[in-house]
Amino acid sequence: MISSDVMRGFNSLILLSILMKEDSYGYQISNTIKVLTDGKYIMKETTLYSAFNRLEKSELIESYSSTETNGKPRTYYRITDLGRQTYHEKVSEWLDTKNIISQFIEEE
Amino acid sequence: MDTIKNYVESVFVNLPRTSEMQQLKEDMLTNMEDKYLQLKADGISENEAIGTVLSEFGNIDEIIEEYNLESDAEQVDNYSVQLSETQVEDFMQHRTKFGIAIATGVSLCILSPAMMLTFREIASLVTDSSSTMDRIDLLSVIPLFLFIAIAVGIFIVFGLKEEQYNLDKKVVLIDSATRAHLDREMKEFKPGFAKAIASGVILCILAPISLLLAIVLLGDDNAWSVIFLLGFIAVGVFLFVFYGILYSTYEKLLSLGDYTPEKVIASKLIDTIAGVVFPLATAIYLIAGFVYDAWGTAWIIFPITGILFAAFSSLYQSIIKTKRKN
Repeated sequence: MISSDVMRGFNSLILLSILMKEDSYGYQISNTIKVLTDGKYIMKETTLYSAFNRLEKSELIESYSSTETNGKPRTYYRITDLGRQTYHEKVSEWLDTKNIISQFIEEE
Repeated sequence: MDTIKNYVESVFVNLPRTSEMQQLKEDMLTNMEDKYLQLKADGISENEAIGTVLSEFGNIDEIIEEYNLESDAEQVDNYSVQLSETQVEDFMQHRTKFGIAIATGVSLCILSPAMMLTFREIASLVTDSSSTMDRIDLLSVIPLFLFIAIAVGIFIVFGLKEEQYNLDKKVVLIDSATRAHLDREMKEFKPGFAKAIASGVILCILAPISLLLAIVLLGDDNAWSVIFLLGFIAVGVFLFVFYGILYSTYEKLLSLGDYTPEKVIASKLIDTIAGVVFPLATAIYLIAGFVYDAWGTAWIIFPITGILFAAFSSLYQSIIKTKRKN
């Protein structure tokens, strides 16, 4: 399992990318991360909810309550326009980062 | 599922009880419940499912950090002290020593007249001459003052040590693992505490009985009755003080009882006001008495001040409570 320290900077990007596809709620999101990474990265509850809080405070996502799944009241998250914009910026930032780092790795 | 709920409750217990935190707690619980049910549906055993869910909870400090960024950071610094696990252990060790020392000091003070009387009783067994007895009566003051001197020394030394920790009138913040650990310790401590307090009460009830017995058996003109009385009380009080200090240490570290954040914050202003109001009441009482010769009625100032002050304290505490909730 990947250490949460390394992943810290990418948690927002991961959450935004999941919410780009559709609105979702806590468990669904953490399960998506688990399934997509084949269990290599498990986002802890506290990490997940700190990230939700940060994203919501900076108006990149918004929350609403719904009983859509199994009739249980859940907090759903929806990406905002600002969120979409930020997502695209972060993606290009990540591509740049990946490019830069891989220069060093390949030189080895 | 109860294990998970209890765990989340215990983690959230030292976070502010705001609606925001309440919502967060419920969201996290729903989330963990979903996860738990899914694991069970995948055919994983109850214990393993609970273990997985708890291990994926993470660290509540992340939430605290995130939360503090938005809350008034100064407020946290002014009233609160964050203690690490080793600091908590250190403080607990100090408080155990402090408890023994203060309890010993108090018992020594109670025993000091008993020591004086014992000294006299033993001396009177040795000699019959009344002139020697007079001198012995005078000398018997030495053990009295010796005991009091030792007690005062203990109070000063340990009082200064206590001050070094600088936790008076501060809310203690500890991380969730330390909190869970202390919670367990306190639970284990409680039965012993109850027994100690009960023994103390029994000793204090036995004290006058021993006095009466000694009077009946040895005649009413003997000092042993008082020595027994004070001996029983000294041991009883030792138990009260020692166990009381340990109990309040747990309360302080876990922010319970008299050490909830509202009470600690409120006590700052309340203590300051008490320092002004009560001497003022005494001054008014004395002036009314000496100048207007109203000794018969002036005493009413004390119950009135007391009641008004109590009303003010509880009002102020509830104001702080509501403020913290918003």
